[in-house]
Amino acid sequence: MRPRPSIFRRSDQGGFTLIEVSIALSVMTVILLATSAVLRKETRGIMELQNMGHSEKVMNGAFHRILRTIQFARGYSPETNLVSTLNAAESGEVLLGNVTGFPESGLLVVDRGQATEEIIRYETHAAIGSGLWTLERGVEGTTARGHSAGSSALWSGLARPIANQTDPAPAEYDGRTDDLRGDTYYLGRGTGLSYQVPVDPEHTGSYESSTGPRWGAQVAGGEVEGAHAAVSFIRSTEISETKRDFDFNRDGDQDDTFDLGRIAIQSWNNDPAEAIRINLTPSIILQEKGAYGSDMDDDGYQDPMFLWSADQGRLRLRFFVLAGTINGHEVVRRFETIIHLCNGSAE
Amino acid sequence: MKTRPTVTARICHPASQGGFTLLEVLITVAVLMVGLLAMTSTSVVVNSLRRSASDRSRAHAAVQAISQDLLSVARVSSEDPALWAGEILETYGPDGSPGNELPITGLEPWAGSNHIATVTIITDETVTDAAIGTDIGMPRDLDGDGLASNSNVTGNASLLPAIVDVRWRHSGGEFELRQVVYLLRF
Repeated sequence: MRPRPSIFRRSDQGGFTLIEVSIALSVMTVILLATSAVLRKETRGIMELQNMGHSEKVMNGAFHRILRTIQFARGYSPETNLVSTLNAAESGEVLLGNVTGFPESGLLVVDRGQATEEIIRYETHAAIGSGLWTLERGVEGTTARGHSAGSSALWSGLARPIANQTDPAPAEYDGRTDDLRGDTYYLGRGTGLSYQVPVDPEHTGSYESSTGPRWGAQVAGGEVEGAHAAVSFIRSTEISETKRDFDFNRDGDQDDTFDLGRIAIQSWNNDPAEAIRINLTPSIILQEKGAYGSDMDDDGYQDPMFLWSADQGRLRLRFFVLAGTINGHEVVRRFETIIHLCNGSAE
Repeated sequence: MKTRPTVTARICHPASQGGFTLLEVLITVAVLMVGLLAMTSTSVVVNSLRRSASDRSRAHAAVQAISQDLLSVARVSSEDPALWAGEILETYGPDGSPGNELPITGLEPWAGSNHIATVTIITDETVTDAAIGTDIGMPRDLDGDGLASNSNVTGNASLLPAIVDVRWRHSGGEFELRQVVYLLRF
């Protein structure tokens, strides 16, 4: 009878035993699994690198397009007063001394810095006259209140340095930001800039009329003298630190909520049908919900997206971008530049 | 009497003996180490590339921002030829505020330096490109008198070349980006 093969080999037999083969296979499997994990990690790393590169490319492209679009523009600082009393229940129209430069839709801050401060969302712009229409009262954490004629009114997108930069009283400013030229106290929330560019509606080859440059904007019907445009942040969606399990603004908690949005150019004229909107970035830009312009990197300084120094024709742009992930963690990158508007301010 | 095996016998065993020799084990470990090191180095390279691309992007943005800011300063400075250049130097000159040496958030300076960006405003018509190390067409007339002989045009400049130099480093070495911007008096 033939003897039953053993899993242990006798010393005079060649080849490997079953145990040796099993151990070898186990070791090989572990090595293969480890190699596979490392390769997966490398692949993910390369993909993350590509995503980060893409975000940088997008933002550099956006800066370039903004520069190309507004370098010959003149900027506006939409600040005015109410020309009549505004009741707390009014939702149809608010009449302003001057609506020039106010984007077609946006947020209006009335009585800034006062106990009666209120932010009003408006949806349309009067074709003729001085009204902003279709109002939503008391937004962005404020309360609808009555305001008297003469109350201050400004477009919330505007952020401008205040005149007194030496220890101003807290009521004089909305924030302090770190700038290339040093700390700067400013007023406003800095979500956009309103402007006009030289236009040549009749394609005469000249942007000049007998009275000077023709100022306007590109709207749906072409270049129109008198039309306006604004480059601004447009909210797309909302994300929360709790749900994403990430501290986006590095303030040490995960309790904050953010608006994720894009930068777009809106232009408008008297006819609402001519209004156009061109997106310059995808929805990758972060702003703290209800606190636009707040500190986004916990460095102790506020971070308005647009800071407009009208007297210098200087626009500082600062965006915090959800740029991708590294090793599974979200990455928020700060992108910043300065644009010199060679035609300065309209005022 | 049983003899003790020699070292040679322990390293290379005869064909009749079982198990791996020390040499076989060493070769296997060496091959595995080479493979693991190769994979680790790929990871290091990927991280270095990520950092390098990010730093370069920051440096480029900084150069662009400073150049645009210089144009802005030149615009708001006095139209008076006697004051124009002086007011620019009050901002971006060596004794100005913020001065001609600037930190840039997120970038690490070269070894031995405490700043990233340097702004050099040329006020000497006679200086040469070779001396500056940048091809900007110097010497040249900066005050509009038709000559390139004034060694200090601060009191009457109509054109000022400014060199923006950003220097940073990371594990890949030390890097530099340089841009020239020409400031014109309005």
